[in-house]
Amino acid sequence: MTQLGAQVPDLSFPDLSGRTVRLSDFRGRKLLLFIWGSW
Amino acid sequence: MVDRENALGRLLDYKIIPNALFVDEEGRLVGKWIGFAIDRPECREAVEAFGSGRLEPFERTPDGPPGAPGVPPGQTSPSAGLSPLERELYETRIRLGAELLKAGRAEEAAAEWQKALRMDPENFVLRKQIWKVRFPERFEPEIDYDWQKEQLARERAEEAACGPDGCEIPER
Repeated sequence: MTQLGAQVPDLSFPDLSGRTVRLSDFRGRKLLLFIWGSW
Repeated sequence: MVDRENALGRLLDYKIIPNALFVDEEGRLVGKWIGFAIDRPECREAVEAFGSGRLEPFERTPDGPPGAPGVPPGQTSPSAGLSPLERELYETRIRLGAELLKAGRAEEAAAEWQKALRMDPENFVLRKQIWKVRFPERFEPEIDYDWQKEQLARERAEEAACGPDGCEIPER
């Protein structure tokens, strides 16, 4: 489990258009991940 | 982005949603807010502080005292009590369930997830996945949140009496 202060692994996910997005794509910028579900 | 494999859930061990993760410019996790809701003033304040560089590393859970900066890391996960082997089994069952669902074997998927839920009854995300498979009429065309509350209360009562799989029927 990733602890505070640790590097977040460079995960990748598809976006809604099917394009792959990596967390490292946002390196150099602050990133806020809001996680929700549609159910 | 769509987290079909629940990779973030496994990585950060959250059991409910919505959540917010704050990652700094170097890719480090500096904030984790379980139960984040942008319509709450304290959540908006955290986002503003993050943007302006005033945010101290923090972890918040729904059980944290109101207004407190957070609870110590590591106290947010009931499944933290699992041994490494049990943890591996738990995660394997969740992944197997996802693969079975992709293969169109929905009830088998729910059965695997039910086994995982037995190991961590506090995983509300997993519980909802099971409901979505077994009670699709409660999710389409409208999501029946009142039913979800009632179902949760029913399952909690059964689990308190008999365990998360319900009562076992004794063999004759």
